[in-house]
Amino acid sequence: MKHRLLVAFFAVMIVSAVPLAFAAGQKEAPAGPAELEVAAVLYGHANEGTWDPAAYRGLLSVQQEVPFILHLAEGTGMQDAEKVIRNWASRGVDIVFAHSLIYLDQVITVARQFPDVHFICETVLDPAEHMDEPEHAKLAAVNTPENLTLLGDTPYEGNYLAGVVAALVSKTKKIGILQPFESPGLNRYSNCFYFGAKEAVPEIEAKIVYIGDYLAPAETRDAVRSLAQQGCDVVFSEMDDNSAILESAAQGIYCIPMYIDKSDVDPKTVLTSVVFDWSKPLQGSIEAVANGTVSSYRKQWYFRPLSLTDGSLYLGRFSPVVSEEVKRKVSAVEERLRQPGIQIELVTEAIIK
Amino acid sequence: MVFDLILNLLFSTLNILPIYLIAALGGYLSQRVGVYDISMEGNMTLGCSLGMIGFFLTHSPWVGLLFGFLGGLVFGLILSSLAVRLKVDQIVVGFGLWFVGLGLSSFLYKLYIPFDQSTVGFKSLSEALGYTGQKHGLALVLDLDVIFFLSIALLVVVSFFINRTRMGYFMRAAGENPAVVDAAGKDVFNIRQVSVMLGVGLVGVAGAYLAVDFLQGFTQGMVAGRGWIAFIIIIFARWKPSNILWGCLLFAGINGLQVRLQVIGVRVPSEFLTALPYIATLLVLILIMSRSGKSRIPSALGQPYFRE
Repeated sequence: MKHRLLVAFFAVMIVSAVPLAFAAGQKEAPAGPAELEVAAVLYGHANEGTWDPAAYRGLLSVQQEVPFILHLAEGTGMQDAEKVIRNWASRGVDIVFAHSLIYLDQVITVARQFPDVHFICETVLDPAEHMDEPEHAKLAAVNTPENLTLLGDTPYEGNYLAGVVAALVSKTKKIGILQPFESPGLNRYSNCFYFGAKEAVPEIEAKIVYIGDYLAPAETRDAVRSLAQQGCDVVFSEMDDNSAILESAAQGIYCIPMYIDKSDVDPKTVLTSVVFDWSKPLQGSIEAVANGTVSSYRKQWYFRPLSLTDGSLYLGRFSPVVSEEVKRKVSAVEERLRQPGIQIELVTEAIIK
Repeated sequence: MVFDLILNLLFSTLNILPIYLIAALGGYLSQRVGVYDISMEGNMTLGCSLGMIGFFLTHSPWVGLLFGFLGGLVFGLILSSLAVRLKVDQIVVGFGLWFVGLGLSSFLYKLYIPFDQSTVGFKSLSEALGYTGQKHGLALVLDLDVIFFLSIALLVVVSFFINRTRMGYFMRAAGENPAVVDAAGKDVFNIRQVSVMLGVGLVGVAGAYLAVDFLQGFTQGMVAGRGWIAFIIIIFARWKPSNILWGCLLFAGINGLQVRLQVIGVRVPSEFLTALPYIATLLVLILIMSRSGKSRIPSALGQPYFRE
């Protein structure tokens, strides 16, 4: 009897979980008429970490200007990506936005199969400026489907400015960098930060720690502690959580995170943040789909980078410890970077030891 | 400088120790009575989520730990009901609950927590004393928080209970030869079920502590294999509580060593340094298991008990 009761109990639990799952739907619709449907494919979750919330915030911001129904496909690993992207495309959404360059190959494959759906994905360099490199040349507009536009995961100018801030604030002239792992893309992130620091204070020393993953709070905190013990008083964090900020506060040093403005976590400890405002590049593509002007939009903005120029990349709120003089110097560098033709050297190798 | 490095590494190891120690003790309580808990990783992740929910509702990190424990108790109830009472294959149940834990953690977090919530963790000794800033040498002990000391106390209590009390004897017997427990008039199923529930509860506490104190937030994947590491530590410890401490120290220490080697500029590929803790654990495991001819694995581990 007890045996049957237990079996019945588990059967009821499993069955009742199904409507619960449907009840917690993921549609986010603005008030008023909304014709467009956008599916966002995220590696993580919209309200966890920093990378995915940055995109989510961007989408919500665009939603205020261009009403659409937003569907979220969270926790999408690489192995499931093509299936998930194809699933949304076949459901008849207007736009599929895959928020990571790791999805790019899958997006291109599905985009060829669904010409009536628009696809947005990311890459790290403007293909048109790197046609001599096969891995980037294959992403040029002429080589990809007409229903694809690319956003640039290009925080280089922001990281450069962050390096300027870090070097000018640092009293010990030693700064630390937390990089998830060694890769060409992440090496560019760190190197730009380092070049900015070197421009501001040529004698600055940098130490780098490869944590092993985007999210490893215990290791991140340990790395910050270790860097602090080695004399670093500013840490630049490329990690996908707040643990670097928290440990920096505990150690009495400063931190500069990436992706979203994290000054609210600890206004004093966070010197500034390198903020990715995805709403600006996203709005262009979404508006073009809404207005039926994708072809002409694509001619000008097939690749739309994060940039200081249009405000899609900027430094977040400054800590009170950042003096007005430092802010003035940073502004001067920013003004110079905004000039046409000024480019930061992008080095793919790990040059910081 | 070398002495400083060693001290820094020691206290860094002690700082992270509670996460491994509490989880490993929880897994130990299950395995000691003969039940594998393969769901530790999922349960820890669920504990992370529940810890955040508990904090969000009450602004108390202690309540966060309590939520993690209660969630673990429920998971333990499910695991023990299926594995002990219904005699479902423990490995299958464990894997199933692992995935349920992973999925449920994000689902519940999204339901209850507004965007980008963070917590206030446990105060370290230095914060409790009103001292902040960098510390050196033995003053690094001030960086430890109350949970560290409680986890050591928990180890002592569990070790004493299992080895020195009558009920502890029956728990060990339930994992070695359940028929003996039955013959002595004790209910094997109750002993196994309660022990598993408490054990899984502790695993939930470890997850809650990781979220509420270390990350002070929640992200899927934040456990990063620690549940599995805790599982391996139990085997490494050969099912002795005192050895669990050494296993936790070893793994946490090597984890801290790879960070420090990078900071002082050791020219080794970073991928190797990142893999170092896992390589070391495997090597030590092979060494330990090959040294003694007789296995210390509980004889009835993984086997359901059929009362005749």
